[in-house]
Amino acid sequence: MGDNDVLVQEFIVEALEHLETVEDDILEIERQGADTDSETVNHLFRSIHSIKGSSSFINLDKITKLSHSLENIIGNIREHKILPVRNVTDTLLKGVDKLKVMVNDCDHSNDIVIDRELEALEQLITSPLVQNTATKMEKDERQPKEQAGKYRSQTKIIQTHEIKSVMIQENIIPYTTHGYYQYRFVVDLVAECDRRNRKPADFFKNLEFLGNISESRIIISPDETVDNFNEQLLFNFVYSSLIDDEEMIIKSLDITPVKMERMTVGRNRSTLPADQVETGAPRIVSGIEEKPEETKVLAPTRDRDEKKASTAKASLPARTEMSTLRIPINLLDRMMNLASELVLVRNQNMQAIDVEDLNQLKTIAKKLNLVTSGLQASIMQTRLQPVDLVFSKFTRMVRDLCRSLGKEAVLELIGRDVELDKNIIEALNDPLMHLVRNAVDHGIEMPDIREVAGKQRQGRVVLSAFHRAGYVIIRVQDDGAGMNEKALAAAAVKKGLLTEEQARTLSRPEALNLIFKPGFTTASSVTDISGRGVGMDVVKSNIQKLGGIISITSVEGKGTEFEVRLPLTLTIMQALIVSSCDLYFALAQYNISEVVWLHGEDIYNSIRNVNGQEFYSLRGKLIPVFRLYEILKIKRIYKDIETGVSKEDKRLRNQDRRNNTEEYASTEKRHSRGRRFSLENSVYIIILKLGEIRCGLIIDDIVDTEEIVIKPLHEQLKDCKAFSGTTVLGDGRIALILDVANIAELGDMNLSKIKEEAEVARQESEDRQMLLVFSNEGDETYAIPLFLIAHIEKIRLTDIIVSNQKEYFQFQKQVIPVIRLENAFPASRAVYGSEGFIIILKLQKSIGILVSRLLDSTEVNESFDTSNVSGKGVLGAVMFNDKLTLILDVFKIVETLEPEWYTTLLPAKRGGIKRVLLIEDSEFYQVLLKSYLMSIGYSVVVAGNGREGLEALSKQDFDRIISDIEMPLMDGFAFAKEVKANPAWEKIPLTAISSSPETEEVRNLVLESGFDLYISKLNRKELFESLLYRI
Amino acid sequence: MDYTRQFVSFYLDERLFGIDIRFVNEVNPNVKIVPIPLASPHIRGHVNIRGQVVLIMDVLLVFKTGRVELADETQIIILKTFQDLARVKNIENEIDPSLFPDKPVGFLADSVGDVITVNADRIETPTQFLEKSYSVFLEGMVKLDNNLLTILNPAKIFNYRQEMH
Repeated sequence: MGDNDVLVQEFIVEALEHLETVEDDILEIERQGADTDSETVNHLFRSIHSIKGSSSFINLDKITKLSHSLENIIGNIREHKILPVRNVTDTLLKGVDKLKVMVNDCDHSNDIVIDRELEALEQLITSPLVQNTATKMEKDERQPKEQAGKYRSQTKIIQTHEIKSVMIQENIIPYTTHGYYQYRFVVDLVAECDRRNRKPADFFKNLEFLGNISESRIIISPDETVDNFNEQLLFNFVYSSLIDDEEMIIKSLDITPVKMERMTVGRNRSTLPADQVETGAPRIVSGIEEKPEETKVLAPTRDRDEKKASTAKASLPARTEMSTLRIPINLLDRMMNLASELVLVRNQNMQAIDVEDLNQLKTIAKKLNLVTSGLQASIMQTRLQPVDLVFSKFTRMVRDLCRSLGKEAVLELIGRDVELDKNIIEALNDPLMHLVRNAVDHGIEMPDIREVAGKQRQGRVVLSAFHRAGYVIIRVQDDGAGMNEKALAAAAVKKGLLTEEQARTLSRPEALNLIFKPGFTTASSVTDISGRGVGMDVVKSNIQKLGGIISITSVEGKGTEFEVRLPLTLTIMQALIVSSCDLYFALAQYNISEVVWLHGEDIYNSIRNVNGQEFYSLRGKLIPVFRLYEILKIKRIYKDIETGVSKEDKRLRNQDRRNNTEEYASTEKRHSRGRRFSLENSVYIIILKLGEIRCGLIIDDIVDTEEIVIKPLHEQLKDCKAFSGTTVLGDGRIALILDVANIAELGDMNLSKIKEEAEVARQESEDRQMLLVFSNEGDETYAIPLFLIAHIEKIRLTDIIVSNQKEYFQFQKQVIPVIRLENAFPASRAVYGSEGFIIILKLQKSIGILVSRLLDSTEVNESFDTSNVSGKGVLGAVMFNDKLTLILDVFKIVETLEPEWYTTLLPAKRGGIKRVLLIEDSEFYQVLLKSYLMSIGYSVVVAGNGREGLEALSKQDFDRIISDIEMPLMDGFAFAKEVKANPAWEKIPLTAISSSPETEEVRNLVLESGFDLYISKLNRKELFESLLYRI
Repeated sequence: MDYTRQFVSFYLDERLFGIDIRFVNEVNPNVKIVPIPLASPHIRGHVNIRGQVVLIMDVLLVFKTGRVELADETQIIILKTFQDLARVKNIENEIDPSLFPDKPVGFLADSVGDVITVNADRIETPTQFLEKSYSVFLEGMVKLDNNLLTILNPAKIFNYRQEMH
C-alpha cells in the first residue's frame, strides 16, 4: 500500500465524514418508518456508495465488501422492498459501526473478519419478517427468543489454537464510544438456571434487556465428560450496558456471578484473561454474538482520542499525529486578502519611515490595527466548528438508551450550527454525554408513570446551543421527574457529606448543587433517589477546565435543566494582567466579577482573619480571600527604603505584622510606619466567580487588561496545577495564566469549613458596628451608630433658627428640628463655640442633634455593655480612648424631647399597644430595634434565635413577629416553617429582616419559607419606614 | 563505527560537557528568566525568545550537584523540539524524537565552548563507578587530549521528574 499512502489518508478523511452522516440518516429512516422520505435514503445510499467506490480503488477489499452489503440493503429500502423496522436499522447500524472500526484502521482492515455482519445483512434480504408485505410485528418480544434459539444452533466446538486472541476489540469499541460501560462476567449457567428455576432462554432475554453481550465464551475443563457436564457450565462474557454501577447491574440482571470485573476504556486490549486462553484445553465456544477470530488490536487513534477528550486541558496539540481541519474556501480567500493587505501596509509603512512622515505613520498604524484584527478574527474562525459534531452523536445514544431502559424519549437538537472552538468541542463530548444520559436515565420516567402524571408517554430531551453575551450557552433540558431536594439532602447525609443539621437548613439551590459534590455519586444514590450524579463532579470540573460554568435548575414533576456557559475560544481571551511580587499573572476576564481597591488603613481594617482564613466583607457579604503569593508560595521581597537592599519579608499577613511587631521592632524602629505603608500602600482584591462560589484573590497591583494569546504549558509543568498556560504580553514579558478553579483549591478552599468560618465572621461583623464618637466639651463622650446618621453638617450656631421656643435648622431646603443633648440629659454639661456640627438623623422624619466637637469614628468589636447603664436614652456604653462613651438611644431621646412627633404617626399606638416578638441574634440590633419598636409604640420581647423564639411564642401571644434570617441554632427559614406549620401561630404576620443584600433570589427564598414581608437591614431608611408602616 | 559526531561543548561547574549538535537549536546569551512558582526546583523559569516561551532547566539541579549561578557569561542552550527533530534526516535510528518535548526547552550553561568533532568509536559508555543518579543522564564519555568530555542524553533530562529520587 506504500505508494498510495496519500490516497489512503484522503479516503479515511472522506469516509469518516460520510460515516458521520450515515448514522443520522439511518436513525432518521427508522423514525420515518414505512413512509421513508426518499431524499434521506438517497443521501444514505450515496454516502455508502462512495465509500464502496473509493475503498475498492485502493484495494480495501473488506471495506468494499461490507459497504456493498450495506448498500444492497439500503437499495432495497429505497425500492420499498424492505421495511426499515428496528432490527433492519439495528443490523445496518452494527454494520456501520464495524465499517468505522475498519476505516479507522485501514491498514489492517483486510484482516478484520466481517462474516457475521455480512451474514446478518444477507439474512435481512431473505427474512420474511422485514419484507414490505409483512405486518408490523412485536419486535421487542420476538428478538430475544430468536437470539436464544440461534445460540443453541450455532454452538460449535473448536480447538484452542484457533482462539489465541479471543477478545475482539472491534466488538467492544463501538459500545464504548456510544457511552456504554463494560463489564466482564463469569457466571455458572447451571446455577443460574437451576437454582433460580428459570429457562436458559430467560437468562439471555434478561441480559438483552439491559445491554448487550459483546463477547462470550463457555469455559470447560479438559476432564469434563458429558456426565458431569451438568454440574457447572461457566459462561464467560463481556457485557455492555449503559448502567454505570456494578451492584446495580447484578441486581437488575438478577444473577450471581462467579467473577465480575469492570473494564475501562483504553485498557481493554486483552479482555479475557490470558490464563484461560492458554491452558491448552479444548473449549466450547458459543456463537451468540461473535465467532472467535483473530484480529489486530484496535486502531490506536481511537484509543488516544478517548483519552484526549477526557483529559484535554486547554489546547494540547497531538504529539505524534497531525490532526486536520476542514476550512471553507471563502474563509481562506478572506484570509489571503487580509494577508496581502498586510503586506501592503508593511510597504506603506517602510515608505513612510523613509520620508519620516509622522502623519502618514499614524494612518498606517490605524490601518494595521484594522488588518491585524481582521486577520486574527478570520484565523480564529478557522478553529470554530459547529456543535453538531458532538450533538449528532447523541441521537443514537438516546435511542439505544431508551431501548435498554424500556423508556420512550426523543432528543431534540436546537442550534446545531452554533460554532465553538475545536478544542472545546472535543472536550465537551464527555460532559455532555453524561448530561444527556442522565436526562434519559434519571430524568425521564417510565412511560406508564408519565401517563399517570398526565404527560405524554414519550419524554423529551432538548439539547440546545445558542449565543448569549459573548458566550455560548448549551442547555440540556428534560421534561422528566425533576429532583427532590429532600431526597438529595437525605442522600448527602447518608454519604456523610452533610450533617443532619446542615441538611435541614439547606436551600433548594444548595440542595441541587449537592449533585456536583465528589462522592455524592455512588451505588445507592442512583437507586434511592431520582439519582442524578453519574460523575457529575467530573462533569463540573471538566467544564470548569474549559473556562465554563455549569448550573442547574429543576422543578419537581416538571423536569430538570442544566446550563453550561462556555467561552467561544480557548486560544485568545480577554485577560486582566496583575502582579504579585514582581511576577506577572493573567486572569481570564470571565472569571472576574469585580475588583476592589483597598488602601491605607483599610487594608488592615476590612480584611478579617477567622481561624487563619481571611475574609473580606463585600457589601455585607463575607467572602473568603486568599493572597496570591501565599498560594503560590512566593517569597515576599521588600526593598528597604534607606539602604535599597531587597530582603525577604517573612511576615505573611497584616495580622502577623501587627501581632509580631516586637520581632521586627529592632530593625524597624526608625521608620517602621513609613516602611510599612510603602510596602503595602494599596492592594487589590480580585473577586472571582466560580459558579455559585465567590472568593477574593489579593494581589499587589493591576497592570493592564489585554487580549492575550494563550500558549499551552510545557509538559514539564503539568504538575503546576495553578496555571493553565503562559502568554507573552505586549512588552515582551511572560505572564503565567492562573487557573482560577485550581487556585481556589490550592487555597485550601474547603467550602464547608469556610462556610462555618464565614458564619463566625459574619456574626462578628454584625456585632462590630461603626460608631460616631463626639462630645460637647463636657465630661461625657457620646456615640451614635453611624448606621443611623444620614448627614453631618458643619454650621455656625447663628444659623440655628429659633421659633416657638424650638430650634430649627435649614438643610437642603428642608427645615429640620434641632435638639440638644443637655436637654435630654439634665446632668450633663455642654459648651458650644461659635461653630458646631449638626448630626442629621433620618428616622421617620429628619432630626438634627447639635454637637460641639466630633472626635472620631470607631468600631466596637465586642458586644457592648448594656447591663450597667440604665440611664434613659442610653443604649449602652463602650470604652473609647480609656473614656466611658455612652451610646445614645436616639429614639428614646427624640421621644422624650418631641413626644408629639410620634402620637400622630404611630399606627401601633393608635390601635392600642401591640406585642412584637423580635428574634435577632446580634446584640446590637436587638437593642437598637427594640428601642425603635418601643418608641413607635410596640411592646417588645426579644429572643436570640429561632428556638428561643418558638419558646417565647409558646408562652405568650404576639401580634407581630420580626425575625432575622441568619441565626445560630435555628435560622429564620426553619423558624418561619415551624410558625406557619402551627395553626395557633400561622396567622401572626411574620416579617423577615436580614443583612443579606436584597436580591430577587433572597427575597423569593425568604417569602417561600413563609415570611409575609422581607426587609433588608442594609437600607436604613427603608428599614425604619417599613417597621413603622408595613409590619 | 567509522563516522564522526559533533558536540556543542559547554561548561557546568568547571566540567566540560557536550551535547549532540543535531539536538541543539540555538545558543542564547542569558536573558531575564521569569521564575515559575510551584514548579520543581530544577525548572528555573521561562524566557521569551522572539515571542516563543522557552522553559529553562538547570542540569546541575537535575544532577543534584549544585545550581548554575547566573552571570554575564551564562548561556542558554535551547534544544530542538519534537517537531524540529522530526525534520532531521535519519535521526530516528539514533533517538526517538517523541522523547523530545513539543515546546522549546533550554538549559543553563556557565559558558559555551567550541564544537568538538569526535569519531563515534571514541565514545565510551559511562563508567559504572559513577553515581546512578548522575550517570542515567549521560550518553557517554570521550577522552580528549587534556580533558574529559561528558556527553548528555537530553531525552533523559527532559523526562526527569522530581519523584524519580
